Amino acid sequence: MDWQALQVSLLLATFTSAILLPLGLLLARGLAHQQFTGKYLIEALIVLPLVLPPTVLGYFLLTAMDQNALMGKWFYQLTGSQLAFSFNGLLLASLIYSLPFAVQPMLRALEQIPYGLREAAWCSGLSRWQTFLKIELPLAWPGIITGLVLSFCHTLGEFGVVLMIGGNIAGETRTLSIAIYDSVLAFDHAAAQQMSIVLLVIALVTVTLVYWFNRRLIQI
Amino acid sequence: MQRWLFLLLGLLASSQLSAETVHIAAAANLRYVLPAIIADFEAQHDTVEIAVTYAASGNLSNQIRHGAPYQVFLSADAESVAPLIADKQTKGPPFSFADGQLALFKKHNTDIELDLNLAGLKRYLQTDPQQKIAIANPLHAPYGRAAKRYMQQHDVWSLALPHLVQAENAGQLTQFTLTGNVAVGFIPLSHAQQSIVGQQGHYLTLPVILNQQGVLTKRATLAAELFVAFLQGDCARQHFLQQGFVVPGVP
Amino acid sequence: MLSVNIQNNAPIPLDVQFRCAAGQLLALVGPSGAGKTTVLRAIAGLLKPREGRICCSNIVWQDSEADINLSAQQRRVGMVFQEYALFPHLTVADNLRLALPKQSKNNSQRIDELLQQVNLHGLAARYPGQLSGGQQQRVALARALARDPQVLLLDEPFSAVDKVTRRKLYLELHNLRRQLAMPIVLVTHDLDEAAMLADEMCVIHQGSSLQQGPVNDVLHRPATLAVARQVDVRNLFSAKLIKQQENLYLQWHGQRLTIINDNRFSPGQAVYWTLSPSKVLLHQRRRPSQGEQENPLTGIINDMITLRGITTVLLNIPEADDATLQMDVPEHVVSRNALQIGETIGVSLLAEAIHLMPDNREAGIKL
Repeated sequence: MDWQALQVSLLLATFTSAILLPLGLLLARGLAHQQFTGKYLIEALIVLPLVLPPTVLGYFLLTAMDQNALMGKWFYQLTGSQLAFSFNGLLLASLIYSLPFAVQPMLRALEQIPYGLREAAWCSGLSRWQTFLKIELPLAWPGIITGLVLSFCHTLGEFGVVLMIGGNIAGETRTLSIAIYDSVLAFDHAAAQQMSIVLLVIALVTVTLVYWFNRRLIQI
Repeated sequence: MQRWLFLLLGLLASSQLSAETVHIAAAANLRYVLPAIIADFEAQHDTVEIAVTYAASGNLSNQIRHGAPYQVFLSADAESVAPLIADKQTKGPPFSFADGQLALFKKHNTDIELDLNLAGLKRYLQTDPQQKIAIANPLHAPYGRAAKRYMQQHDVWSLALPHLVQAENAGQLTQFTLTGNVAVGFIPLSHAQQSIVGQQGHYLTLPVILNQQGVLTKRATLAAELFVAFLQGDCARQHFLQQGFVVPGVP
Repeated sequence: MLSVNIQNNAPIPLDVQFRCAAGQLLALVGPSGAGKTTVLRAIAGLLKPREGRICCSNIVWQDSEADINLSAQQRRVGMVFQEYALFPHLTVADNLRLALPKQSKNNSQRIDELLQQVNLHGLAARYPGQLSGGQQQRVALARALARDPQVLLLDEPFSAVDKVTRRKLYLELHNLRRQLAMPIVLVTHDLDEAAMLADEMCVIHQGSSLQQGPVNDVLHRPATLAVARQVDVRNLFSAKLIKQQENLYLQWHGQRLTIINDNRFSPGQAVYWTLSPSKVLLHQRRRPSQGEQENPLTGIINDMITLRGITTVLLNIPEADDATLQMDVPEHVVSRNALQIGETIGVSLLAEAIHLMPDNREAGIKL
């Protein structure tokens, strides 16, 4: 059992979902009930990581994070550390490939709120911000939690992109799913089994919790 | 940075905060020999922690060129080290620490005669078999390149081509070789000698030597240099010998 | 006083003018898709019309020329939405509390008052999902009032409840509005509902306001044929005006009908005329009365339909090329006079109830 890999995985998933919560909400809120030119393009871009092969995403990220490439250089000048084969690079990649998992449920939940409720809130004197906090947020809560948990679980389990851009560095970019792959190659099936079970349990528990939580909220 | 934050989150207690970690990129055929060497090294240097990533030498070389933060690169051949030297990514000259050998492995249930001329393999291939031949990817894995060359020398390469399965690195190669669909595999001798592999078949050591080369990258710290020195020392040599490597200067 | 004068192009073309005095209930009537709800949304500030002016209690809410456009939050409107739009995650009390003005946010007494006002006691802790349709409508009404609005807007507030509940709610609204001092605008496609609840009525058709006036005026004295069609007048005929001995008469299928002189029209002009079915008088067989001398006609009873004590008698008038005339009489009159289908009876058309409208077909005006 590679505890360090579990650490990296949990840390990566926690950071990713914590950043995607406000970011995803912001995006979902900007897209729900709005019509503007380019909306379909933005929606398509958000969903893209869902349909794009991880290797394609991995290739583009790998090229972009290179220290001689624009993004890699920019990040290096800004922080003094490099993006490629680092935890930060992995975090950035996770934010991109888990984005649809966060945004989609939030967007669906916000769009399911009848438009009339927002208008009723405005006509009751609530500002748009108050309407968001007091009406939309509580009503979209199950979708927001779902988005949060899905992005967490998806980050925890992502393999292809991590393999391509992470470089399997212990304590930095070796996530649990990479460690499992590694143990299988090393004929260490006991470790692979342990880690797989850990991931399985985490996934099962969180998804069960989400279902339970959603059911409870809907009953009100 | 993330360690510090991790403590803050209190998710798990982090260990050995004071230890310096040396990241090593190692060819996948070193998987069974390095852990013991590292254990001996760490026993002597308790403030140094070695973290190893195993992959195909070509891939590792590529990653280092793109900025992967390894301090030591242990390649299965010299070819993968050369581009790093040309790219000025290294510190000091490359060094040899052991020679790997290629083995031809067959599982108990397959009916192939193992011989140095590959005549048995050739006969087997002429029957147009269902089962495959496993090699590492010659594009970036040294053992794959060596296997390809050896087959070319004995005129089986073109016969074998339609029956090849290519693994990403030596680790996956051995994994493939042990599956039911593979008749024979060109695997590192160090892998063939592992009991878990040996139980399932037998092997023939081929007269192919792969000069394992290491190099310090420009990120190398004193601890990394200590480890490299240890790797070339007597203790490490004993481990290499036991695991099917040839060590220069030792009969 | 609420005054509205707005023009818009999208989502539907609008050209609407009307006023509603404080304490008055104005019904905007018209078929679905006529733009009634859009007008309401424009008043509430949920939609910005291309141009126009909306003024309430001497505050300009919207003026395209002065570039004034207050937001829905600034407008102090109370709006009851068609589907009520109650906040499903909040209790009845919290639904109301959200709409209370800031200074009385924590005033639970005010919430009790509001719930009393709409006859909802003891339901403050319920969630909207636990309420019947009628109760939800009352909560929506109370929430609209909670803001202490300067105008109350009701968008088809009765369309989502069953008929029995609807009648109950009619009475409640009728009582409630006596306590309210602000202008009330009710959007409905139901003329009976409008006639029952409203003081004034404004007919909207294809985005245009056609006529505003007291309910009976609009229903029985429509200004144009278009209004007449919208308010569904039942006796609508075309005729020509003639002049005899200094008086105007209607020439209708060879019948000469006496009318009250109306100097909007001149002899020879083609007109439409209408007459409320309740202003057609049945000649009592036993006791002929004075009114029977006015425009007497003979008709054959074609059919009779009774609804809530009023019988509508369909008469074929042979003297007028078998035109069909509708007459409303109380049910007991039908039985006392033993009216039967196929029977011939005499009726009188009250001259003062005959209402004339211009016939613009010749002038090429499309209605």
